[in-house]
Amino acid sequence: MLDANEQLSITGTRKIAEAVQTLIETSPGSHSYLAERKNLEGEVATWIVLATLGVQALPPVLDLIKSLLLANREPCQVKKIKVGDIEIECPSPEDIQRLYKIMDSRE
Amino acid sequence: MPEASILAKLAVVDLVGKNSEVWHYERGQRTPMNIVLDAAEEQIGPKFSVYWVQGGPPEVFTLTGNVPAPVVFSTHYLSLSVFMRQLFTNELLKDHLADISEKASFRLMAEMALRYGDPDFAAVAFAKSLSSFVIPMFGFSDDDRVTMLEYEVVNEAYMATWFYGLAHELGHLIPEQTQDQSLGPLFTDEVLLEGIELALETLFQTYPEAFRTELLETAVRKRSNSVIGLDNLRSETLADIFAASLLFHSTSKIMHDLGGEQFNIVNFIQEIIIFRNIIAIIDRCRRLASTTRGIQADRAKVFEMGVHPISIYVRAFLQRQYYMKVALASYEFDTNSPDRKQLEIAQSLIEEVEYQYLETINLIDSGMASTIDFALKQDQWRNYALLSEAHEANLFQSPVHRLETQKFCELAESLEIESVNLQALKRLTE
Repeated sequence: MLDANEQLSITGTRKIAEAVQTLIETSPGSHSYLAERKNLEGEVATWIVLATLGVQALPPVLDLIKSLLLANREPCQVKKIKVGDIEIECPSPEDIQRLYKIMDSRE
Repeated sequence: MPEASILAKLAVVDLVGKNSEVWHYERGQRTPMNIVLDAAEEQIGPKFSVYWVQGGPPEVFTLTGNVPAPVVFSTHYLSLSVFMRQLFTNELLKDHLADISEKASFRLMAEMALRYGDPDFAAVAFAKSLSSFVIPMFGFSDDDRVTMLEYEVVNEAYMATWFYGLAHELGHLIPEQTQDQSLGPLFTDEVLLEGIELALETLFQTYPEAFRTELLETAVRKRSNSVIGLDNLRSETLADIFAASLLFHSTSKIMHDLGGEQFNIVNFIQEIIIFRNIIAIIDRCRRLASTTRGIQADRAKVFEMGVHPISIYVRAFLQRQYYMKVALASYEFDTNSPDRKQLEIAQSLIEEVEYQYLETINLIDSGMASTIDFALKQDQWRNYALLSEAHEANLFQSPVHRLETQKFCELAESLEIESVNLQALKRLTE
């Protein structure tokens, strides 16, 4: 089952990172860190949200990401999502659904 | 609740990934780095924490939005900078500079492709970086290169190589209020667009008209979502100017305090020019390597790669016009407000220094041109029988090449990356 104290990190657009952080901050026992990454080379900035999630906090976060990806199909809005030891680059809404199932099937 | 500092470090660790050691840089001792950081703190306040990253990807970056903001200093980036700096300064390489530049950029792209691109291309690029002659510094580890740098005299070159990147990142933390009041208004949209137009007229006349039109539209429309976007360009230019200013003051102070060599502002300008070019080369290799990922090169990535040299030109131009010229004139003529004549003399001097490096930069660029061409043609490199070609040329007979190849294969293994070409490359060393 989806459990407590999972570490989640997402890099992607500002819109998605801020939305995810806002949701996480309302979840008891979860803590998050949102920042904009700027590189030496002047590459377009990306956003990162890193969080330690409380009990049952992951499902709504994954639901939110999936709905945001479905609402805007522009490629690679989430550059990377990492939950525990699972990492997916440029996930599609279907990838998020698969991730949900994997996490749900774990003890 | 986890402290913000713990989450900040976790974020840094997450971004630099496997094979990295990350630690918080302590500010207690009076090291050159701490002198630079103290000087930065005087200007922007105690708003940052420096994280030292050993190994991992060659990336220097800042995470803004929290106080203290993590600023990442990468020894691998430093090592690559030392390596690439040889192209600009090592007189022994002069006669074969274009060839060596080609090999060096293939070597750099090989590593970048392991991290950001296609592993088969990585192996191909690595094999193409091997040559019948041994290129100094190719096989050195990060530790070797950093140690060699540590034995250098603390002067303009030492300071720029160690700290330009760090100083630039700290420049991203200038308070917005300060930006607005001092440098911000200088970089209006009009000024930035004029810079882009100038770049197109001066160096990029051969770009097709349709590309130029798309570029100018992108600059205005995707303000912070393109490397040429005006907001992005403004932020980077401010950071460039902050970096030059911070290094100017820190370098002259350290050299004065140490009492060895006297600070030489012309040397300082040379180093800024060199380092700007090093950043551009490393970034170009990274971007090129990342375009090899996927079946076809992503159009958006290729567009961003095409406009990147223009953004570099604009940033360099504005850094010169709005900072270097004034700093040089002020220093040379010992005045806080140089007059027009003094500024003209300063500008001529800077142009003279830039001109001195023109031939070197052109040779390096011509060497890189063939790597760019090769990387962008996927059908060429995907079907390239270079491994057998390299084998036939006996490139793997050299103990140095075998060792370098083994190290490259070890890096791939440590990143848990496999591919047919990587396996073939590994077999050639057995």
